[in-house]
Amino acid sequence: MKKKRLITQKTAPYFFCAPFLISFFLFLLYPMINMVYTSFHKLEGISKYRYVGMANYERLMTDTHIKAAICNSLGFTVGIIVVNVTLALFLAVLLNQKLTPCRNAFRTAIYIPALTSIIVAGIFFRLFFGSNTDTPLNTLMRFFGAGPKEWLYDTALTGIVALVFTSTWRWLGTNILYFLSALQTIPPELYDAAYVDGASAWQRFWHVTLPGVKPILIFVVTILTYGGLRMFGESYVLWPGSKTPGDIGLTIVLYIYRTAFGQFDMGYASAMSVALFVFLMILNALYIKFFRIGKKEG
Amino acid sequence: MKRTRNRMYQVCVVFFLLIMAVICLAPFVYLVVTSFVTDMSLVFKNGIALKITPDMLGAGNYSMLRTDDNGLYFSWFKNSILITMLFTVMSITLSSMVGYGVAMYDFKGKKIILVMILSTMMIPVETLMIPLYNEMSQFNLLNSYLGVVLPFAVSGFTIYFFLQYGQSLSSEYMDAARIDGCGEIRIFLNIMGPLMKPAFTSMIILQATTAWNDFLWPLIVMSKNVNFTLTVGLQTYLSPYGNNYNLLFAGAVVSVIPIMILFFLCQKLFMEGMIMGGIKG
Repeated sequence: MKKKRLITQKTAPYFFCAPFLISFFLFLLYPMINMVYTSFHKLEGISKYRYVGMANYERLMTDTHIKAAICNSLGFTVGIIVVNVTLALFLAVLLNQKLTPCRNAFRTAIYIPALTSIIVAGIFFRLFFGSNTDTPLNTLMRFFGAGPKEWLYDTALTGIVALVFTSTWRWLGTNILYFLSALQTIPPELYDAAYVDGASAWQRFWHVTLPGVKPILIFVVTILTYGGLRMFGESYVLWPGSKTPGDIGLTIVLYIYRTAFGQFDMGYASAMSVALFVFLMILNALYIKFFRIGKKEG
Repeated sequence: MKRTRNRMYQVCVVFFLLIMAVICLAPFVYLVVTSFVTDMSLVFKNGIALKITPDMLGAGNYSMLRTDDNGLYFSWFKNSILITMLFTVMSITLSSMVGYGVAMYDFKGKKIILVMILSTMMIPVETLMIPLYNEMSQFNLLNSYLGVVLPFAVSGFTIYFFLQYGQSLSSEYMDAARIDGCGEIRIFLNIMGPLMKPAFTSMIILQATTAWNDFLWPLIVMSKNVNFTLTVGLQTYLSPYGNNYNLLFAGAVVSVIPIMILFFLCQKLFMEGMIMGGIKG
């Protein structure tokens, strides 16, 4: 007699998908519901929650720290997208050219920072953006006739510049790999045809390369948007410990973290998380509509 | 004519790429050199502007790292190694299962599961840190390895990577194996799994790096200093008041070594796997 199997061709897919379904309900759906519930409450004592209605959300509207945090996070996100997309795409094109010597060595060298933790990057960049007059950056400033700056504590803008620089150092390599993988999908015949037709290097980039990498370009812009808006570590490490004057470098997630795990104001922190979540979901919908993600184009 | 233009191009490109490579690698050189400076108050005062001379160097920081606080650094190191291994094994096993299941089978509810997977890729875990912390505390998993690993072991991104890779495989092998009386799980383990090897290499490096460098979640889950991972532990040396630079620099350098070893061991396979089999939009 043939042994009856529990996992057949019919049941196997459900068996394979089980880990995802369990994780989805346990670590995503349930916490989400829990978070919305907490956002209407205030933690009193150690584990007692009192219903406060919309109070936490009303507080959001008047909080000046959150305004600064939103400005910093948005500024950082725009900066990181502009710098990372242009630089990564440019470098990927160079590293994809057969004419470029030592391609693999350069690919590896530029990818290596992606292997480090934000702590390691933070140690270096905290000193790099230090206020000493002889740092390379301040020497450069003097060369252009400007005075030395205390980059991390000057204005919100220099804070954002420091953040963009620090993150780009770690994120660039990964984005280059994404673009390189997209460049492989462009058939070389297209370049040959364009070349025969007398297209200049710029025209070839604009009419062949750019349309070819468009799907991955959208992918990279999307992950950079989320990566930017949820950035935490860079800010935590560059300004360790305390509050900064004028909330320089404070980001949304860092503010949520401090409210929740510094002041144990779980209700208010949950309300902020819900607001951030809703904002990101709206952004998702806009991106999907605007970029037509998921629809195959010819 | 064309040849001289190519030469010009090559010189310019190499020059530019060299600058980029120096920017990418200089911080490592700086950290390694500075980690041997014994009088760290100089570094604290002068920052990066400090001119380091050979007579300032010594291995003192590393021996201090070994003995400080009964070898606290080594318990962080051990925690990081174990968490990284646990996370990588769990996440690769579970995510490859799901990705494979969705890619290779047609079944009722496949569309819904696909939409669910894609939607989890768009949900930032940072927004869920508070309820997840509460949940871990209910499960009694705070200050434990499982508490760090479990919530993120099945990630949409990793599933999607395996899913895309699986779609490029032919299901004829599966039919042939079925005729030979092979069970579905054995088909996955012995036949289709090995065909996905490049995807496994890329994801192992990517997941191990993620776990090794993860900061926010271990910071939340681990509250006792013997339970810290390297990133969380090193960060305590960053305080603006204390002068722990000796430990900070030496500790940072040592913390980079394991992931570098892993990367250089699988570097060729990783680069190819990412570039050839990577996300195609």
